[in-house]
Amino acid sequence: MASASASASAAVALTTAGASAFPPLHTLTRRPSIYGTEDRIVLDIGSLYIKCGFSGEPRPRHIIPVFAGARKSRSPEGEGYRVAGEFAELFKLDVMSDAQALQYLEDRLTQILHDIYFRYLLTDPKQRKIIICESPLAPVCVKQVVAKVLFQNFQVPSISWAPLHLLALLTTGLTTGLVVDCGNLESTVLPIYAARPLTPFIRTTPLAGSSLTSRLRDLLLEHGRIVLPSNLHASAAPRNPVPEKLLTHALLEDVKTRFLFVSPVSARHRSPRRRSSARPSPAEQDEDEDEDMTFAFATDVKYPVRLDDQHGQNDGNSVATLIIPGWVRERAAEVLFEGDEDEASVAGCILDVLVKLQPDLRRPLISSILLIGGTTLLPGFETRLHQELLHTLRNPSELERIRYARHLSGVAESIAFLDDPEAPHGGSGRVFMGNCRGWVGGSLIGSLKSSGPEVLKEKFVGMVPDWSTGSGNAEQQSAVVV
Amino acid sequence: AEESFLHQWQGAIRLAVTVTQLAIPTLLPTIMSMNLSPFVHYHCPCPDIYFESDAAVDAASTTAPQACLRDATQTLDINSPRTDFSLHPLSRLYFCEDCHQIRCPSCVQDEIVSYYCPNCLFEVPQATVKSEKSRCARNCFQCPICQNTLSVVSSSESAVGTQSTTATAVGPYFLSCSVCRWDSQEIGITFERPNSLAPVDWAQYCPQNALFAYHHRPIVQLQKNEEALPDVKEFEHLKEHFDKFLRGPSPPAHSNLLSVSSVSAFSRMGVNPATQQQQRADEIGKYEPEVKVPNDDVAKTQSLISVKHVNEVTTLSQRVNQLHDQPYHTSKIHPQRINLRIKRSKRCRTCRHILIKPEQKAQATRFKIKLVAMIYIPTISIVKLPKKNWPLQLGIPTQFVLKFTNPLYEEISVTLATPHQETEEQRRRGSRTSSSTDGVSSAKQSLEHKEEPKTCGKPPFLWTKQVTLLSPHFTVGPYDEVWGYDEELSSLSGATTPGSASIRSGTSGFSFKREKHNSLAAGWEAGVYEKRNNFTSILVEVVPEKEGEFKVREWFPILVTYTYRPDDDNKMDTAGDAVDAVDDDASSTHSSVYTDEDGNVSHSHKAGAARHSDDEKSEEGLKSYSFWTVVGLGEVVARDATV
Repeated sequence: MASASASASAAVALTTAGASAFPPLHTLTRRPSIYGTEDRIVLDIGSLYIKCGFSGEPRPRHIIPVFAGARKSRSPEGEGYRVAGEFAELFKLDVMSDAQALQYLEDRLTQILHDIYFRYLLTDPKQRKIIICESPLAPVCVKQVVAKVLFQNFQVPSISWAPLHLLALLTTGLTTGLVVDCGNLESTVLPIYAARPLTPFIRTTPLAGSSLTSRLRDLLLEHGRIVLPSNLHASAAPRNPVPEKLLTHALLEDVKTRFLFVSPVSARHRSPRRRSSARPSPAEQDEDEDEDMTFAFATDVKYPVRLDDQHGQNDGNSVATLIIPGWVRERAAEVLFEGDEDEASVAGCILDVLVKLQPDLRRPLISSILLIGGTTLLPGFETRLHQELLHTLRNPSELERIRYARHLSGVAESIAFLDDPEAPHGGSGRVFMGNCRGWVGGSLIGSLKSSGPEVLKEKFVGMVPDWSTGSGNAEQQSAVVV
Repeated sequence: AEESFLHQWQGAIRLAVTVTQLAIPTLLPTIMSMNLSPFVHYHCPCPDIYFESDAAVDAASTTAPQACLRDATQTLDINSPRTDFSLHPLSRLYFCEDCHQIRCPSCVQDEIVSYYCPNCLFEVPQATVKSEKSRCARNCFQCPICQNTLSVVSSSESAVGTQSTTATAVGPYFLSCSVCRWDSQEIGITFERPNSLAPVDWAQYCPQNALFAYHHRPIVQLQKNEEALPDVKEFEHLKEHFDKFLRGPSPPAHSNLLSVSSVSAFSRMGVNPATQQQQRADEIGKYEPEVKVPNDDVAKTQSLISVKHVNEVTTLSQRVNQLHDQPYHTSKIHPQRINLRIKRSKRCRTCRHILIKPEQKAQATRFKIKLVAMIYIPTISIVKLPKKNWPLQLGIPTQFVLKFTNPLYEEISVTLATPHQETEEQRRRGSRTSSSTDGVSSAKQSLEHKEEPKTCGKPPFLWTKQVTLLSPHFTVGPYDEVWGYDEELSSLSGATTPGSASIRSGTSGFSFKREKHNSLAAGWEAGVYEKRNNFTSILVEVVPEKEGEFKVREWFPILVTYTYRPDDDNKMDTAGDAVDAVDDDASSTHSSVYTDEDGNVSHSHKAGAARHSDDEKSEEGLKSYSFWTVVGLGEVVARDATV
């Protein structure tokens, strides 16, 4: 069928190409074959966004939010399928505990992958092998569901899994680095030395995109104001507190990705009280917020919100204004840097990893930090993280001194980021965006005809290769001991 | 195993006959809101998605798990989140003639027929799809702001406002969005000719500063320069870099970059000291990047700090259309070429027959093969009765009409059932004996498929609201094209409407019930609201009950079974679709369910819904098919709200 369609449409191709005299766009890229079916499909399946595209290409074709179109929705005109659906993460970290959640995940994945194949990538799933970029701590059951859907429903010929952090690191041209993946559900810090992920030294914290979202919700509930549509002048109109149901996940995600940034310096470093790592009392928190308000200098943003009446109807005029205070925009991301003993901050995770590492690895790794993941795209994130690391190492609190500074003396000067072109190991800068780097690495190894452990469709019996299962387990433990 | 499986089925039905007022049905005000709108969705259990592999995996296993599997597919737990994915409006469903089953979008297999641009409708050959990264290589661009199609306009033309031709339309052209009024002049993109495909050497405009040129190039270069972007160069460079390493003199064991990183290799490093050889293999060589992109983090932060208006900052959906840099500022996003689309044919996963096959040409909207469920399955629509409360109110019994429209050329006999509920209400009046069909005329009796409502005792349905089908058995007249032209012919169908007749006689609900007992023939179609042409409307009564505070809408499942005698002469498109062989034990499989006065239901053989081909009944040439539907009645308001 494919050949028939190709020959039938060849005439069209010739005429269009002839008329435009337009040279093919791919002159720079090496093209293996005319249909390129040996190009593999690279998927980076996150809990909120799926990055998809073909191997050998320098960027994913699409980043697809899992919350749009994942569910049926009906528009007033009829049955629309692509209306943004309910906002729900594809999976949560505790997905393993709930069999129904897994089934739900399977159904949603089926639908999303169907869209990916037939609406975005426009390719036959049966023809192409797949590379999946996987986080080392991704729940194995999620991997299994993904494999099941791909093999059984889409009948893909094979799937190979490759470690996301290593892939991201490869896009810098290096094989040694400290990869910090700050995504939606969790932040992961994984040291990689000579292309070997040192998985036993991995550190994670749930402080990531989703915790930022909930912090933003809390702040907006308390400090945001809403101006209902009225004829009054904006300055005279009454400012009401924000109703809770207005702050949908979709709205928060939009605010988060558009208006939040990370303040370069923490206001809290000024106050000595905050040197303790204990969770602050409510009163202290209020004080903190006062400080935040005082030291913030970002503008307030007037964010238009469409109000629905109780029947969900919209008469068109009901656009209210949500006022997002500037300091909220600036300080919401503080949550990522407020760790305690249970949940280390992102900076704390990095230092934890360093302390655990062999001393001779600390300096090369701290001088090649690579930030990946969507949350690291917040403007100012890298600067702030650098500040936090420096601050903890140079002016440690009592606890921090015991925990980090004792072991890590002299490391502070070496801190450098791989995507900073000025840094010693600094490569090409942000030529690949942080949220795509893992995918780009997958594309890279795909084009190099290299890949991780592969499972063929015929061999698939429901199990997937994972470092945490199978024969590697005992060796892993011994490695930890050593 | 099958016996035990069958024993799980229990059926019950509540037949309550009440009198309704005679009224002209009016359509519901279409939709009240996105999610709270009334709907009738059809359930597709998608039995065959995992067919092949399950067969492979479960080959050796006993039938018990399969029975469980079947059980799961045949009950409908509308509270399960899965049903979100198995309920579809009829218009989205297909029907496989060979399997005699509904197929939904997720249980058919898609195959690509052709690629085309949704804007210019040009068909794109597969090789071009690859090289152009599945985007339209012609004049089609999408708006960077709202992702609608951009059109090429001349600046002089737009200034004068003339619709007319190119004689006056000269001078710089630009792209304009008719939806959000964005135009490419805002970001300084204009070009000389409307035919933007003419290749222009953009470098001649600005050979020194590539970045400047990139942002100020004519529109053609939007396409051409995709290849000159820094990430493309860097990616190629990286490929060469690692290629050298992989193809280099390193031992074959390390030729695979990722095998080095695999678990065993890692533990080798952890446990054993690395060998000399390995160390050599590790040295991948210094990497000098091809490009250096300056860090704009600080500038980005600065501009965000002082952002004045919401629209200055791009949304995520705008950003992901420009994935190589994902800019924050609206002025930095550019028009993108339009993504191509595909025409697909769809296959049944079980029998591999094609269900949908479109014409290959992009402009053609016809289908070579089109087996949609609408021409096989009765269409069910909700009709509101006048003077009835709507939206539904909590605790107030409300009647409405379900209208069944028959697409077949044969009269069908429909049996409805709701899942069994052990409620007092149900026990009180839910008694129904199979004898209710005794008085039906012989033709109808033969058509009447005595399969009783099938419900499953476990898992129990969690919903507790009261649904009363006033007429669980009725017939729907055959479809005839003539009716499309002449409404008056409806009376020729000859079918009187017992419901309306009794209503005309002014009987009360009680007398109507009595009538049923006295004259079962008349009572057989009691509760039928209207019966004309090829549709029959029946009355349904619901009592919305609040269940948990999150329950804001009313919905309930109905199992629909319809039976007809296929007549090959009349059938339009069933070449070779022979009536299946008569089932050997048809009589036993069609034994009725007996419900005694206590509402206890004896089991029914063959109670499973017709989810499997073996369920296809062919007693005396009859065909029957069962499917679940879920009727949603929209929002339920508190009783006080509308008083």
